Amino acid sequence: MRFPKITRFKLPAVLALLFLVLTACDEVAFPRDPDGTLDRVEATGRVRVAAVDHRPWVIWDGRRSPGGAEVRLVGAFARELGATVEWRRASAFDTLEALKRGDVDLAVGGFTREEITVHGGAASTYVYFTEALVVAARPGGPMPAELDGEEVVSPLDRMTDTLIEDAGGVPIAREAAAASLVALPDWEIPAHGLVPTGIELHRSEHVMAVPRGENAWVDRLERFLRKNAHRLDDMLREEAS
Amino acid sequence: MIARGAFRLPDEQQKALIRAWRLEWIWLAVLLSITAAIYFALGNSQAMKTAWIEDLLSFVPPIAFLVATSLERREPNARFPLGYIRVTSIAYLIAAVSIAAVGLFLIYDSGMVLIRQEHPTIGTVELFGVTFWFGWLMLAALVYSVVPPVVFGRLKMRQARPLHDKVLWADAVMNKADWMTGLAAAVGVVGIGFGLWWADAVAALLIAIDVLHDGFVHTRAAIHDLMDRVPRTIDGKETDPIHARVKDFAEGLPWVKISRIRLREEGRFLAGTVYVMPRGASVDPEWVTMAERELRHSHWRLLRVSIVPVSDLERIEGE
Repeated sequence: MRFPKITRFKLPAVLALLFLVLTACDEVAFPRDPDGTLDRVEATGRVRVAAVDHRPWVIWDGRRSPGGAEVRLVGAFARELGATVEWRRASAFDTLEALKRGDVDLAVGGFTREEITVHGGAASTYVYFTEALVVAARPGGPMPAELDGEEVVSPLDRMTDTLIEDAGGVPIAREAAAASLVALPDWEIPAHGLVPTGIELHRSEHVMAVPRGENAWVDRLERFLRKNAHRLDDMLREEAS
Repeated sequence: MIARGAFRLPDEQQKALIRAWRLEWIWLAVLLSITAAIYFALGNSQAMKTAWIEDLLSFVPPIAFLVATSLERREPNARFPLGYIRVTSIAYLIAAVSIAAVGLFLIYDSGMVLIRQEHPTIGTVELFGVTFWFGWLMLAALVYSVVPPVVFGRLKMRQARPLHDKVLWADAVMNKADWMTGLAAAVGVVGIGFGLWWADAVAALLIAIDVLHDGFVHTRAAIHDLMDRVPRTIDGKETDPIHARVKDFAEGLPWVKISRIRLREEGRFLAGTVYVMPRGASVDPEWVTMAERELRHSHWRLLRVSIVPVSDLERIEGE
């Protein structure tokens, strides 16, 4: 394949021109959606969101619409677009499959980037919240610099036994909570009146799931998240309590 | 003849070699920065990924050049009585085959994206408090990746010609064509921005075809060299004029009637035999030795050319 020859001097000019033309386009609509998700949401005033029960991100309490920190974020996003949310309750896998087919516009449920990548059929937003699973201590109790045979309370619903063992600790069930150390997400620490030890067991990169390639839609959502996701710590605490 | 290393190059070639060495080392550093820039702007673009792999590939010819030029200088020894000069030809073949192989892989990879209809997602990025589309960062990285290769390509070409170094030449030609890769990838990214999900994969496919084309052309040339094809000029376009000069020289010898030339390329050098049919019934070995010496001194590339008197040229194979 051979392109027509452009001299060395014309090349930067061509690129500069290209850039100018495109910058001008940015004022109009750039990037755009191949399947027109953003346009449709704005035109119909409806956004279809699948939500997976995952406390405190998404909480289904038998009501018709869910609660939870991410649910509140999505609600605020929809209001910004002048749209109402049609919630769908589904499992994580069904949710991502629906995104792949184009049956929903957005999916939430405490998704991490890894989950979306493994599924492969949907795209993720940028990592708008990083949740660190840490070891916290009771105030006044021992404050180890690292775990060396210490007993750490491993909340059953978090399934953290192996993470604690890998860090050198001994996981114990909450019922036998005589120990002063506990494994929990960093945002929960203040609510329990605990002190962080500085020991980190795991990091989860939280994202929302979107259809692949709908770049105007992703662009709009990410701009919203960049402005509003900083309140997520507080929202998670409110929803968890 | 043999001074430092296995051979001595004339001053012009020696200087060109040193410049080429320096150029390739600087280029490796520049290339490293380009691949790093593209890597951080990779995102989900197939075209960006393809352009990046092509950049990675660009490491092969400079490294092949640096390795080959340091090996070829080694003295002949008992295990390698003819020295190491052909290592350059082998380096050329290795570089060429690797380029072709990656070209094939990239065609497969971007073809699959088209078949599976994977829509590339490019989100936003926040830099210095400003949120903007990540595609702009990709384009910036591409612009950065386009300019240095074009400049270096020209500089390398200027050294490759006097050195008759095909690895350096192939490297320079690839670099000079690199701006097309960058431009194609940029068109792909801009296409994504306009909602044309396939533009990216198509751009990637075009880049991949170009890579394969490069690989094919160079593999063919390298194989032909190893098959002792008649020496060609460095751009491969015509028979090297040195061939005719050797024939003129041989037939200009007072004791030679007609000649038949069998030259081949060994790295940057030429080797082979000049078969001559003498005018008289006998040949003084001293004439042959003198003529060989003169021939070798007439051009630095004629490193290993011998003159062989024969009674019947028709018995020499070929035309």
